[in-house]
Amino acid sequence: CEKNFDAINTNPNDPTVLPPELLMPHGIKLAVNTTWGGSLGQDVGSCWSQHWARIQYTEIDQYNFTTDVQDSPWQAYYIEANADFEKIIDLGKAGGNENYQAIGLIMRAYTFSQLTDIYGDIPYSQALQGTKGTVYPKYDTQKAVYAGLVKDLMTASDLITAKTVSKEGDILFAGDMTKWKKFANTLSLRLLIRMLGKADATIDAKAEIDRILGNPAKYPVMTAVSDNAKLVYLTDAPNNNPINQNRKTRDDHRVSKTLVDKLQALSDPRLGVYANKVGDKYVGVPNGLSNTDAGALGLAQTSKVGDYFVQATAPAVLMTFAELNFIKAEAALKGVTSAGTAAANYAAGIKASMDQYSLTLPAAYPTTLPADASTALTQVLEQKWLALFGQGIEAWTEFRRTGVPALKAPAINYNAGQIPSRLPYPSSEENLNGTNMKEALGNMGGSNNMQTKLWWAK
Amino acid sequence: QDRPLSGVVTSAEDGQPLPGVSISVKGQTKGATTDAAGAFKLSVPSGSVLVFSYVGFTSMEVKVGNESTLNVQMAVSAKSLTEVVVTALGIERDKKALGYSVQELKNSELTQARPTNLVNALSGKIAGIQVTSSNGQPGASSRIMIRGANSIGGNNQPLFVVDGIPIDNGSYNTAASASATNTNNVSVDYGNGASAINPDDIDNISVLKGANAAALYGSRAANGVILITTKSGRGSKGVGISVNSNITFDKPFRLPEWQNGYGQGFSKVNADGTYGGGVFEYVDGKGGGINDGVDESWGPKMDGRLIAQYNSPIDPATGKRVPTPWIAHPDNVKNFHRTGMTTTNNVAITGGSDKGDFRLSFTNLHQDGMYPNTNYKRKNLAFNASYHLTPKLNARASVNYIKDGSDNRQNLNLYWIWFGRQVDLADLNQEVEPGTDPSQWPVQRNWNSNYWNNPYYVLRHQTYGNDKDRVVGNVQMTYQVLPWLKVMGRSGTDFGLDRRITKRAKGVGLVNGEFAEDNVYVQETNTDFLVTGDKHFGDFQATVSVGGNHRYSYFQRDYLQAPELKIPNLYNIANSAVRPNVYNRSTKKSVNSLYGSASFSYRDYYYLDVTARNDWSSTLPAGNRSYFYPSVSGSAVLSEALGFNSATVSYLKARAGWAQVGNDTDPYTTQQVYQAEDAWGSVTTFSENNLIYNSKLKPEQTTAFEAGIEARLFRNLINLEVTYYDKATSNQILRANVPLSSGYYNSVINAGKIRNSGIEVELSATPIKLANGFRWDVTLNYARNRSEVVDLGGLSNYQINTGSLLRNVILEARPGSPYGNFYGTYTRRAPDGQMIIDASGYPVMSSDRRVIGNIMPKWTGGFQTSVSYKGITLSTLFDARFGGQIFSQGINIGRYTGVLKETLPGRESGNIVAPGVTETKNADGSFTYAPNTKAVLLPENYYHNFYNRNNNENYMFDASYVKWRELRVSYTLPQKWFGRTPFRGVTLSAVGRNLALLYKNVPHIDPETSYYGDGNVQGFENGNLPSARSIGFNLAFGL
Repeated sequence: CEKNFDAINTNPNDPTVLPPELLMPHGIKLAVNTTWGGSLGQDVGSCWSQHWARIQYTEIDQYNFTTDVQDSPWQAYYIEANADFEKIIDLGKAGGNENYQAIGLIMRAYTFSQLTDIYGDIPYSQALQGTKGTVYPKYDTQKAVYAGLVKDLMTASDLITAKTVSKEGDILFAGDMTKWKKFANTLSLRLLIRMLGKADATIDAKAEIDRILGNPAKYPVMTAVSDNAKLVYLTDAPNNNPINQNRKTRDDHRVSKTLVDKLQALSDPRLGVYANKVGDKYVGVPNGLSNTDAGALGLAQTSKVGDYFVQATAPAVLMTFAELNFIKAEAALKGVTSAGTAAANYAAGIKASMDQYSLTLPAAYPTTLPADASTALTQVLEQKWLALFGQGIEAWTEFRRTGVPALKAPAINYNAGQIPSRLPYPSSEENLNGTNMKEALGNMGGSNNMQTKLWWAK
Repeated sequence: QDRPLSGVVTSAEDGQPLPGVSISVKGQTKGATTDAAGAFKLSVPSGSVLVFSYVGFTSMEVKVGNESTLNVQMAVSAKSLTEVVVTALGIERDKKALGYSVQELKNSELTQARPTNLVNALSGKIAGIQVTSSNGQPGASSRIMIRGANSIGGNNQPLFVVDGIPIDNGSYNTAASASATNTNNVSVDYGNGASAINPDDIDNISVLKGANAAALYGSRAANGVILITTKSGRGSKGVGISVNSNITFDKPFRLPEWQNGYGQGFSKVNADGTYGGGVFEYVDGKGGGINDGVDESWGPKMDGRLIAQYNSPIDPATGKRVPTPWIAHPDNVKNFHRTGMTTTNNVAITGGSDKGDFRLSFTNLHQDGMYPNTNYKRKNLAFNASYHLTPKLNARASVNYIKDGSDNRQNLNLYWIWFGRQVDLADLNQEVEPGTDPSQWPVQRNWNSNYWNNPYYVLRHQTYGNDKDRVVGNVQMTYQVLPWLKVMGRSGTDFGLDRRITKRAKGVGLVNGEFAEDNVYVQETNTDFLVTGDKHFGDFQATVSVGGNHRYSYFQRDYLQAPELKIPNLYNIANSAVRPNVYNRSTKKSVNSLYGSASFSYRDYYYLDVTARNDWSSTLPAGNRSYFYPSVSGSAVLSEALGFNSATVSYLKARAGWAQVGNDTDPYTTQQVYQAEDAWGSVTTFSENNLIYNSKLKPEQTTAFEAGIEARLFRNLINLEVTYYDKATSNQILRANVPLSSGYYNSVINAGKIRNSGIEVELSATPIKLANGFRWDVTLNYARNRSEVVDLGGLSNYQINTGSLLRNVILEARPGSPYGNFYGTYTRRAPDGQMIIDASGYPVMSSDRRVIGNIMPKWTGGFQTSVSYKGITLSTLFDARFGGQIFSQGINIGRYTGVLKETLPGRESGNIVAPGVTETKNADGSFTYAPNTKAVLLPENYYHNFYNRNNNENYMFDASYVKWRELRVSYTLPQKWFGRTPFRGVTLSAVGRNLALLYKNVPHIDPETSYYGDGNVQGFENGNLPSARSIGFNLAFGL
């Protein structure tokens, strides 16, 4: 009675085995799209960091939104991106190509870092084990996640060999393993700068920064704008830039008045890239206006986000050489000698940001730092905020960590007058992993709202 | 000397013509059979005696005089009680021998007040079944569920069997990429498989409700079986023709109550901070004017003031629009709906002799929907024939070809909900601005160009059509080996190819048009044999059957999509402006079964049935493929056994049964695979699958008990049937959601137990029955079901709805709760129940979720009554559902956008104060509550927050209803009027369906609706086209 049953029940549609490079484009695209596009990149990132502002349906710019805003990024990062990266690590290990294993580790670390910066404590050490027997992962504290990621990135950097990987599948660096190595170590520095000076950090952040910056041969970092980690999109949907796709049917965003004012005060040429003119001037929109006020300001009378960012093939940036310079400037100001001098790094950071958009640094542009370390730090972080335009989540993270620039929540807001400190955990975790989630909230010392401070902001 | 004699045989009970009555001339071999209209013709000598016999009716003898016309009324045989019903595997049995509940529907209950979807005809007529029609779109699906939900993850619909062969009732609906009206996803309803069966071809429907009744169908019978027996020429002599013609007109059953005071726009704040009323001015419909990109109605009062609107004339001198009066169009939405019309014409020819019989039937159905350019078309061609090859060997074959489809199945979800109430829809019928080149992408004439297309443009140029060819057929051979031993072999198949074509011109939310072709091929083939022996031993009788079945299912879907077109209006994949999307998938499944049944009876009043079945399913892992399940049932006709047949209790039967049914799962759930994804340019890509597969699955198991009594009381005046059941399904195969942090979305597991128990009552009575033929009948049915999710194998809950949810309302199963709880956000309240209002003057929504409703009704019922007298029959049906909730996104958004009438108060004055209290926390941790005094300046701010659309509790409504479901007045014209013409049994009827909503607790919408079609996710409304109120006429006659 069971003749041929095994054959009948063999899936003819989907593969059971495949080479790791076939998983790379999907995982990378989904991770980057999530950070860059969608409500996460555009509203939570770019609006809450006041690079952009809403001109229609302004509720989210007042921190009032439906739960899919917190649900979708969690879903995309864990099951679309990280499940692929976890598999690439396994396949790289099993197939004997350490480079795939390293790429998987780096992308997984990037994705976990986004998750922890958005939500706080997250499932990390027990995450992604669904087919290996753990479906209800416990949460790790943010400081443990950070320590773990620095270790993962070091492992990845150490693993990289001369073996070749698929150019086609590597849609980030086209198989250039040196660039992967630089990305790994530069990303490590982004994490370490947030750990620097935290007394309860489980690893010595300063020593780790020294490990990287003190040994460029073993742990190279980005040295030019051409090292930037960025995904260059293709012309056609569904592989075009997600902001380009959004603008095909929506027209909800403008540049923020906060940003326009700051760039105008500096006579900064980046304003011409970041924003479009209305007539002969740039008009920023205050964040969090009522719909009525936003309507009165008018869709046609306010500056849209610059054309550079809404092209189909506009790149989505994961990390830049400019950011590295600002990280090093901050490290230098905090006494890490391997980072060089703050002044040099600061000037290099501004130049790298201009270079990124093929702009010439105006001769009159202020690139010097004051002697007072605290004022200098504020200036470094303000320039960092300007350079992070487009990378809304990173800009929001840095604001939450440092309070620079001194952004103010809009008058109408649904978060007790504060810019949100985090996104609440998604409803699916509350529903399905409630016990572990509640334990994490207990560890963070708050409830599942947008006012509980994350570890690096305490 | 033989003389021609003709006439019509009707039922004395309801005046309906009786087809298939066999008429013999006493003492001769000569005879005839009535045709579908109950008419007969034969030649007999004067003085001969005709014997009329028909199953379930008392045979009668009539002596023929000199008349040429003889009309006969046959009485239902109450005394013999030989009510024959069709049971599992198509076996006809005496109802009194059954140890379980079976209910039957006759053809006349399906064809007169006919709904397009057969499933809807069952609503209200049978205790314990719940029918939900999805929406008013032509060809839309309907869901049927018997005795509650057995399975947490399955679809819970019964198996449909036609002439012994299971058929496909799948709908295979998928969410389209984006709706034609805006950028939200929308699901298009392509109807359920069983909806295409033609009621004209159905002789009767037998509903097997419990596991006992259905145990022999195995795996899929756990949710009950709908057994359909089609008409044949069996028993007929000579050739007869019957014709049935039906026309019905449809109007929306219920539309929302709109506000007609204020049009599109928002209100404003004056310079001095006071409320400035609504403002609007159209420039480009995208925000270029004053609030002209807004699709809400908080704008100026519609008092005739002059405002530039989308259809205001443009002054050629200035290029600006000349303001025109701003007035209300209260019936704009109502009048957008046209009168839908359905015509159904059937002609059937039957014939037979003692050697064999045939029936050939053709039906043409055409339905024009209530929205312009929407329709549904169906042609059914049915043929069946049998022949006695030898006295012992009979062959029968049946084939039914169905061609159905639609040019457009669009239902404009939420279109009128995001809306400017001032819009004159009649004006939009001119869908394209004058001067636009029709060969290019046209410029729409439109009230809003930010989010919405012109609705006429959508219906005419953004269409979801389909064209399905389907064949259901079977062949059967029966050999009478010995007088007591019969062998039957049968093979049947159901296969269909549905070509679904989406053509969408460029529009808002759609960059350059779209073309998609979705080909769905479904085939199921069943081959079975049955050996039946039947023997008497004194007072004992035994029937033993042994059989086997081989089932093979194949499914294939090929999807091709050009997501953007290069040349406008050219719908071809080759015209794709970008890389086309393709998807193809096929699945196979095979199940082999062996089964046996034994029925014993003693003196025709004690009965015992035993069945056993073993299945082998390809979908389960090798070690768990084989599973066995038995059933046993018994009944006792106590009135006969104990001999207390009295005038008060003329018949009393008690019955009880216990059964198990196993169930398998979908193909390919035992092995982990990767999933194909959109290519990156020319680079093929895959991803880790989101599902955790399971290589150790076991079959599901349903165990059911039922018991009941059947009684006839007061000289058969009252007929009562009461059934109690209790069933539980364990080892359920679930695709359980797991935390996404595991890296996966869901996991195939064996877990959980769900229990349903309930009671069903059927009561029928004939309060008046006079000698002059006047008769009044009443039928009442009632059913209540209680479900409980007993255990989920360690899962805290199981989410039934997945994917993109409406407002994040979760429908789930949670241990200790009834099946189908809604989980969602709610309003925070003070201890005395008043709403807590915050400092801004808005109600405070919870940050957590809790149970805010449940989809399952507490009870359902139906009340049917008919009066007949001299060929006139009046009958009507009321259908009730009490309890259970529905979540309405239509009301949710309609309150947010200010189109519904409850958003009117405060529009003139602004400064609205919400009823409720403020909450202050005291130093000791206690709370003080004080009446809210905070006024909200702008009405839209007030209503956006007062009716907070993210507060799910605000939009849960009681889905109870009492509907006046059917009304039928029919008149069988006296045969003498037709004299020597060939017309026989001419019957005219006026029919109505969904006539009135007599009781409801939900505003604006029909509580019977389903946004997600006939799937397991029920209880959601999304501004869809309401069901129709239909009124029509039916003409039937024979030739």
